[in-house]
Amino acid sequence: MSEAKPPAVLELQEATIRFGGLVAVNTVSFEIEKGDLFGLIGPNGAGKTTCFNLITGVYKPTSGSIKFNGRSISGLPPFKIANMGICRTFQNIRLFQSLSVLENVVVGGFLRHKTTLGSALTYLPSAIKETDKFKDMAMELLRVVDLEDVANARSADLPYGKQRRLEIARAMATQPELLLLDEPAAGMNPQEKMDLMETVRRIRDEHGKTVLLIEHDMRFVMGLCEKIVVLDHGEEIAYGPPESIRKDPKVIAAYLGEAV
Amino acid sequence: MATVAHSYSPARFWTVRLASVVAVLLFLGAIQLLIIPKLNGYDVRILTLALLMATLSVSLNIVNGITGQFSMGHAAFYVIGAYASGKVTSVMLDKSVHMNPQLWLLLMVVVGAVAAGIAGIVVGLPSLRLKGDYLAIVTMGFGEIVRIFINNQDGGSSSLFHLDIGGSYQLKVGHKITEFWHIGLLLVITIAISRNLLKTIHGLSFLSTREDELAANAVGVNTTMTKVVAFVLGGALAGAAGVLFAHYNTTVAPDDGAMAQSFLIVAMVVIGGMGSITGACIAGFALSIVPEALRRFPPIGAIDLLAIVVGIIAVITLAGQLTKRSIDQNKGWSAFTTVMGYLFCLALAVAIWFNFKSTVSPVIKVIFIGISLASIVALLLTPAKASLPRFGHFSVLVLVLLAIKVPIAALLHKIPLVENNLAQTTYTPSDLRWALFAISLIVVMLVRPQGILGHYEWSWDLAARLFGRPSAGKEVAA
Repeated sequence: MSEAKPPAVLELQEATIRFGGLVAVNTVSFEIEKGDLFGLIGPNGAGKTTCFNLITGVYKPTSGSIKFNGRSISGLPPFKIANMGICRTFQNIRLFQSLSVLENVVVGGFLRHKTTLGSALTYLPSAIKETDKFKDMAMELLRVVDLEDVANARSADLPYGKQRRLEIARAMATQPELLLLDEPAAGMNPQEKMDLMETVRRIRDEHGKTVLLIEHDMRFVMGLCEKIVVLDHGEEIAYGPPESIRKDPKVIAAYLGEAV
Repeated sequence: MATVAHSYSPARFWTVRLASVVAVLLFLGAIQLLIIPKLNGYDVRILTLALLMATLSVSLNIVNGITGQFSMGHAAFYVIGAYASGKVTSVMLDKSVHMNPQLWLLLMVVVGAVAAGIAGIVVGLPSLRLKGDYLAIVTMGFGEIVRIFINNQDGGSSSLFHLDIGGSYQLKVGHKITEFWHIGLLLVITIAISRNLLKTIHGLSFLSTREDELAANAVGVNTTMTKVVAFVLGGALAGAAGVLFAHYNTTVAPDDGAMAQSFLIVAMVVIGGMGSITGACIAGFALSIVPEALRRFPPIGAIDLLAIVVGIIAVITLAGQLTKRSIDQNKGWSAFTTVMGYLFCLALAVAIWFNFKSTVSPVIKVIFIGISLASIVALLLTPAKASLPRFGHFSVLVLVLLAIKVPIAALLHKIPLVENNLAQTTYTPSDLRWALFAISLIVVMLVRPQGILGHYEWSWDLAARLFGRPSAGKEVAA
């Protein structure tokens, strides 16, 4: 590694987590450069979501380090990591169900607030203006994911595909540098998947985000991601561009269960 | 196409703010100067305590409803505020400090709110790790610890620092400073704070903590901090209410913070609708007036009560059978229930007239007439008259109940075991208030688990929709 190179956006160095005797993620290392569309794949139970939980601070790694823009983030609480610029979506959708679609996205903007709680409780002009500003920003984001027509609906009332897109909008509202998407295409039909691919690409190209995503749909991952890491039983078994991953015998074995 | 409506315009803001403050003060002042002197002491006391309970209920709503942390020790904050300020007043006012009572009360409100707020941090800290039932148990324990601690603080050997706050007797504050309008103002402030919170982005961070803590944390909301702030805010407002109570009642007893009191406040929030300020306020007011209103009814015999309970069970079973046989869909039946609905509205109108003529306390009179008038208006004047047959159905069931109650009671009198043991027993209806709360809680939980108002708040928009004018920009997409 040369000295002049800026630090990678995200760098995992031999990140490991053990739950009792079970090693869920075992010495996984990879680097994500700015502007990457990065894929994290593997069979069920490979440790992909645990990996996300390590990066976003839900779990603290047993050993190894996780660095974001050169600063160590392992062991920080999730809200601090979100404040630094990493935001995620969830595999099992976790919206704020009884809030409206717009409010869900506004909550995402909350970490950029500047007014104090006191000015909110006394309803001062600064707090009102800031709230209006965040609502405008949320409306913009709803336009990006094409949900502006349901802005006032209760988020639990949305169909599945729209709920997934809403989660992406909510994560985008935190203005992250790195966006983690946990199975964004799960439960979508082929047309919705195509639209989602387009949206994710736009998020990278037009909004300048770095994206790390977990996905089971191979066509989706191979069509979208430029670099892929494959996990199996918590271990990293392959790393590279889609073409080499597709031919990698270890990956084929992991998915089809054959001996190499 | 939905757009974000901007509520802020700089020129009007301060005018509206000033006008609303003046309007609130004028309104409270008018009640204090024009209406309160005309009421007797009993009525003033009922009204004042009802407003206090409404304040407690709205302040608990910040913790239970808005932030979703189920706290069952809210009365503890109330007595902490009451005792902290009461002790200071009894020791200092007119002995070492001579001060305008109004200013002194303001100072005491600050003292009580700070004391209760500190207690809020103490309870808020364990809530970092506990959720749901576990948190409820911890807060319940906190309430009991406070009560038992106060019980033992009589300056004797079992007291900490030999602090004398009356122990299991009472703390005598000795100064009656609080007036009706002080409590009214505190209620308005509590409602305003809750509403302001919900109108700004800060409120959304509280709501998101209620909805999904993990997700809220993942988008950068410091949920720990939010929960502690909610406990401090709710606790401080309850403490302020306690201060006003101490300087109104002039004595404070440990049992003012008993678990029963905490349960009552929780019941108010739950019945009103978790998270609804309007619901908490109305339920707080109603649940403290109802036991008093029940006092005007004559004592009821235990056998009659038993007959009513048996009758209700019979009627509910009957109603279930009627619905099963789909008599509800029968045209003749629905015409009949509609007519019965009209008849019952007429009966309500007659009841209003008699109530107006009667000599009961004006507070209860006004509230009864208000509720009855509101029901009649809602049933007859709103365009959606679908509720009228339902009301008629209900009235038929009540009539059936009244009819079968008499033979059931006669039957019960014939059973020697019941006759010998229960015939002489009577209850005053106000003694049955806990049973009444329990029943209303059960009914609300069965019929409307989200509480009477759910997440709704009172607004002119809601009123307009009730009267059939669809409001703009509220269409819900499929």
